[in-house]
Amino acid sequence: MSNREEERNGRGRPKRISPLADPTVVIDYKNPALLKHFVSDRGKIVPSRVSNVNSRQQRQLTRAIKRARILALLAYSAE
Amino acid sequence: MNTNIEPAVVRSQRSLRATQREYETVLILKPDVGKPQIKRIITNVQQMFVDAGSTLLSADNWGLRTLAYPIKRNARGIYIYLRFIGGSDTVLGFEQKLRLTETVLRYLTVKVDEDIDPAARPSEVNEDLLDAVSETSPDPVEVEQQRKAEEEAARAAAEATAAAEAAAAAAEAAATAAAHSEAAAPEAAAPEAAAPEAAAPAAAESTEEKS
Repeated sequence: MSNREEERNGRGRPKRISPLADPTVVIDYKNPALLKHFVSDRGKIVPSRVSNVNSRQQRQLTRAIKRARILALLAYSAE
Repeated sequence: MNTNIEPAVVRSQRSLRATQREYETVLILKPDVGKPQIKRIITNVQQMFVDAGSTLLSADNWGLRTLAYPIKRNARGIYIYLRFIGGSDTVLGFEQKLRLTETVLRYLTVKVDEDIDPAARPSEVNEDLLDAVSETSPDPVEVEQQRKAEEEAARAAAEATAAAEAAAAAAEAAATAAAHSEAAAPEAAAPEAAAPEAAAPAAAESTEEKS
């Protein structure tokens, strides 16, 4: 179907598929495994211009990540 | 449904209008809280909801989990998930009670749905569910660690037994070799037939000894 050139984004890295590509995925603070994709190694929320998430989903993510942090499902910051 | 029950203190317009909302609450309990204690907490909560004219819809125990950061010096906590119907004054009273409970490390209440019909959402809470909720499953992180440790131990044990077997086989071979060098060739033919694998290297050894 698609050749190797198309799968690379011009910087030699293979294209990453967003976990939100699946329409059945619901952004929820009770699912830290999903939210971890949108948090940097330091625990910061990744900006949407980096993760290419649309603004509506970014708002939902931000809210979910902040709630998950309250419940110690995600860390506020890496040590 | 609960319009005949007047709230003691009207704290919100919504409770005046007698509309109800669905909420969910996640509690983090101290890791050493036992089964009877969890059951007591949940039945207390349920009673409190009944008194306030609201209902506990369902409850779930997520088990013992490792916290992303320590809370009050606890590295782990028991997660309890509750779903209930009520008004904002119910939540207020509930959270006040949680704040006074020492075994509750952290709580978060989130509104799921508003202006709902309470009759359309029956409560799933019964004795069996309460019992299941009180049971805390072990921490998956710890279970994984324990599994790895056990695998490691099993592997070490298997290696040890293999080594022991090899040593035993070597000793047996040496013994048969000794017997061979002492005994004459026709008598040694019978054990050789019984254990050809062990006898083959032994025979080689015995010929080396003879030469």
